[in-house]
Amino acid sequence: MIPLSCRVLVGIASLLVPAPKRLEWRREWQAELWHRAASGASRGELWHHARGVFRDAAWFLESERKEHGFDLFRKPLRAELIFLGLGILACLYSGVFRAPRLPYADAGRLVLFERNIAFAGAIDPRINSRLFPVWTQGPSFSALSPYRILRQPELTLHVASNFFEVLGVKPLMGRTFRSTDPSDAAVIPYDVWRMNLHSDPQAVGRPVSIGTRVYTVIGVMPSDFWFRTKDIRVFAPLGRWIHAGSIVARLKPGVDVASARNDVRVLARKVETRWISDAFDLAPLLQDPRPRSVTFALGLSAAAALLGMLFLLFKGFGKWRYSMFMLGVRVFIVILSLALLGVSVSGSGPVGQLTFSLFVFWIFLMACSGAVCLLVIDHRGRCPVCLARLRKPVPIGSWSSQVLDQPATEYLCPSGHGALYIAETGNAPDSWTVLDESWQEFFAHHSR
Amino acid sequence: MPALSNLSYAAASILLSISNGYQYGFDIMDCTGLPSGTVYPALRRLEDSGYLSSEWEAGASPQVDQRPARKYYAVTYGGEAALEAALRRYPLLDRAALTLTEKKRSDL
Repeated sequence: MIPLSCRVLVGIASLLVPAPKRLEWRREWQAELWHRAASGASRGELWHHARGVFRDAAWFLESERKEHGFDLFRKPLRAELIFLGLGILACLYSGVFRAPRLPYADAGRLVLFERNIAFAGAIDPRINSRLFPVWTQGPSFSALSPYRILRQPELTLHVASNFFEVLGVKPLMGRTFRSTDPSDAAVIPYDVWRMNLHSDPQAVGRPVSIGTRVYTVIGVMPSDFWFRTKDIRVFAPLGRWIHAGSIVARLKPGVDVASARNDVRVLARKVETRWISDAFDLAPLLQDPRPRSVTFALGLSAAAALLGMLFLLFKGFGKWRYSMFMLGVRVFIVILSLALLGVSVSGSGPVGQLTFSLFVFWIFLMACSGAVCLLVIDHRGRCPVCLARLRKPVPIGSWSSQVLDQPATEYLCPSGHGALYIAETGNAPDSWTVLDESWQEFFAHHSR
Repeated sequence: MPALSNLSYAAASILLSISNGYQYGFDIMDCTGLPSGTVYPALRRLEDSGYLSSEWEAGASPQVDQRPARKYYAVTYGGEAALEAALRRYPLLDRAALTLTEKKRSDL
């Protein structure tokens, strides 16, 4: 008789009520709603009344908070909040949230090819070379140009001869590549021209040493030009088409990304299986991939926090309830900080998405696992009321009489909230003994 | 038990309605016009403070009628003293108490 939506609402809110009182609380609400429904109340009216369940359930949380003296901003969170501050600062410094300005003609028509790697939740911009001729014949693109970023010996962007034409940029001086250029020909960025050649107006044709290689300058790019990263030291010919590289393409006028993406997948099926073909995607060059990384990282940390909260709500843990809640809060803050640090690293990395997806992603996961383990170990030695680190360990029991008097260690809260009993043999669970007001005089120098 | 003067207007009106025979949550809501999000937390707080007691509907009536049993609230001695103090503090509520008593008489 009670609408399903109201029953769901009561069920969710009941999770906030302490386990011993939960059943009775739910019974009372269900009885009231049932009688109200039986008296002919409309669904809207019932829903309106049922919305009060959360305020009612929150009262139990609030009364427990008062009883246990629980406070979110106690000392132990300072370290985590400083860590979070570092993560935010790193993000701000690396400019992750600043939209990059693209110095290309009609940049809205430029797209990057990429491949979704579902198992890693990542994107790989490297494409197999045998697909390039297939897509070149496609109806959606006016031109495609492969490129490859290599780090050794210097950060070098190897590009096809039509690369700069596809982007729609012209050199500041000299020319861009032709298919007949030798492998030591180079187009250099403005900064390299200024620093290595001292802004020489006769630089074209001169040799320039970059890293361990000597190139012959054929052109210099304008000061505002960059592609994927601003750290590229030299643009060199792609030479032979390597087995896997990246592709930038210019869409024909009037073609949108969605239809071009469909063409790409249909054409790829000529040489690849269907499931591989369907993993190909197009990303507008105007669209900065880093917000996606930020969303992913934040989503992951929020999911971890939600998991912790669900664990707390379902298990209850009685008097450990707030201690476990605080552990969830600490885990959330630390994972969020690590995510922000990871995103800031990916933001300044030379290969953009790939750096975050495959390298930083796994480092991030390992760091998260390590941090969670350390937090759990640290949290076990803290007072469940004020979260201060427990002190004055006292060994009790006897190793020679493990059955009647098993060895254990008792730790004391410095503010006198209670004592934690940890069995050395692991045969008994941790137990917390609350110290009442009569003990207060021993802890007069600490505030409760 | 908290000081008697600490009773809010909403809590006092809930106590008043219960003392006049409105014994369960939605009945109190109808009488006071307060929303469920105010009435129920106030009931918990008043019960926690010892001004109210509660018990589940006894007897075979719910089973015979095939309906869930209700939880009924009643004002304790402490609650009555607190209500008296609140009525002195809130004169308008005192007048509402008179109206409720008259209504009760006419219903009888």
